[in-house]
Amino acid sequence: MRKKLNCILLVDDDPDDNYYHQIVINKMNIVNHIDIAVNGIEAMAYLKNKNQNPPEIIFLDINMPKMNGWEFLEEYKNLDIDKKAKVLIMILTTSANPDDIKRAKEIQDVTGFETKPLSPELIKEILQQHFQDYL
Amino acid sequence: MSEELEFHLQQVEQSEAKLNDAQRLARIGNWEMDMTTHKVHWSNEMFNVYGYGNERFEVSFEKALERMLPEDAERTKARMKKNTEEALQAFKEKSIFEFETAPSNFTIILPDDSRKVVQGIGKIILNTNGHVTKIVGTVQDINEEYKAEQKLNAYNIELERKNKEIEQFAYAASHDLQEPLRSISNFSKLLAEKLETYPDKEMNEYMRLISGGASRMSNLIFDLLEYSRVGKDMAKRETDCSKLVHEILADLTVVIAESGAKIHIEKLPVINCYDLKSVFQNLIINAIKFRKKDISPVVNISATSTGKEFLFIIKDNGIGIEKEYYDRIFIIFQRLHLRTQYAGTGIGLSLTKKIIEMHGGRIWVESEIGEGSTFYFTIPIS
Repeated sequence: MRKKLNCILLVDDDPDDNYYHQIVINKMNIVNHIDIAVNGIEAMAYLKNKNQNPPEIIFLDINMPKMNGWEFLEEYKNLDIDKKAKVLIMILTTSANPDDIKRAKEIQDVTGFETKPLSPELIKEILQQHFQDYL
Repeated sequence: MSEELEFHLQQVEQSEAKLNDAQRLARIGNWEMDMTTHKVHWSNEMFNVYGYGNERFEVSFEKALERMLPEDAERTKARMKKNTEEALQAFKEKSIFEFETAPSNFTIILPDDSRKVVQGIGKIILNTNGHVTKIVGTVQDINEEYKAEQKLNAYNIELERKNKEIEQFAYAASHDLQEPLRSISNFSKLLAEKLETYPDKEMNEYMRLISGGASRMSNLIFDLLEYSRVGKDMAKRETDCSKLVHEILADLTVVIAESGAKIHIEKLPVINCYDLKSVFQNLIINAIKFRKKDISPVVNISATSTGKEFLFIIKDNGIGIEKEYYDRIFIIFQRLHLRTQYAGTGIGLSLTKKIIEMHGGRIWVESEIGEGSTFYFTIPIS
């Protein structure tokens, strides 16, 4: 049997999107559990939690209240290396604003920039590129 | 008095009358200051410009300065000093006897205490020894022009502000509208999957319409977003139009193959411009899309230069456009056909027009129904 990812973290304030993305991911049967943080602050707290193994993939929204995606990435830069080691961050947002895409490219921790919604095709592509053993 | 002298005097009188008329019509007065006697002479129209009508009195440089706003009087004195120095310099270096000064606007106070903006130009005249003998000049009443210009500037600022506001509004609206729409589209997709095996086939049809509607609206909003974004942080760059068009054709491989389109590209220039990808892309896609039934599209893309501007020509053999719609097709959301006949949001050509007009260019179409259309656009050579 193929290996499963342990955890995917969805960082998004939109409950509809979180619900939908959970359904899409679950249908593919590739991960043990999906966790949700509704803004950057919750996501940071989640990642700093010592009892918590870091997720393999973070899907990060940009427009969120309190701490948006950019602010989260700013804080994430200062996180312990071992907490970040295996985490893949994909920005997943509403519009493909060229300014945002350019900005994302300049951030080392960000692997990709995609527009919502998450699709099975996109997830397959990510697995193919970054998690060969899990297919 | 001899007849000849009388004739000459008459002529002088006549030309003086003509000069007065000309000054009155143009609202330009002239003045003259003798630098040895410091006497100043004003023409009739000078008194008019300064609001004195038929009143006449002995004028002086000081009196003229008193009629100016204090800051303008100071400025005029300083200018006079600087111009005189430059005139002396010009005489020394190039033996120039007449030195013209640049026009300068200032505000004068009329006897009724109202204000008027005028424009003054002067000339400094030197003798062969390099001494200033005379300063002459004109003063033109430009109050109406000045007020009109002020008004225009105010309108321009207001217009720019409004444009920015609209741009931001369109951007925010289209961004925020995407979100609820995505929910409709996402969950109707899930629901459709569940209903696939459901015996009521009408249900499937309803789901298809909901999904279709949501996806159309999403395209509309996406295009609107793109339209509102045109001009934002854009920079001109050297563009090889031939290369650009070939890149677009590579993107359109599927569409071209499916339609059987033949596309001929003549040599296109390298120009300095903003991103023209949407322009060529929209025009090429339209040329393919609006094809006649059972006739493969043939599209010809060419360009010429008039020295002042480049003229691009995109000619097709499609369905054509009736003359009465030549202008309407460039208006946002205007469509000539049912979306079931020809898909599209009705934004493409308006976006194209917006980009071309940003360059100071124009776009138009010539067409005959059933005979194909030719789109022309110009990009000024910068």
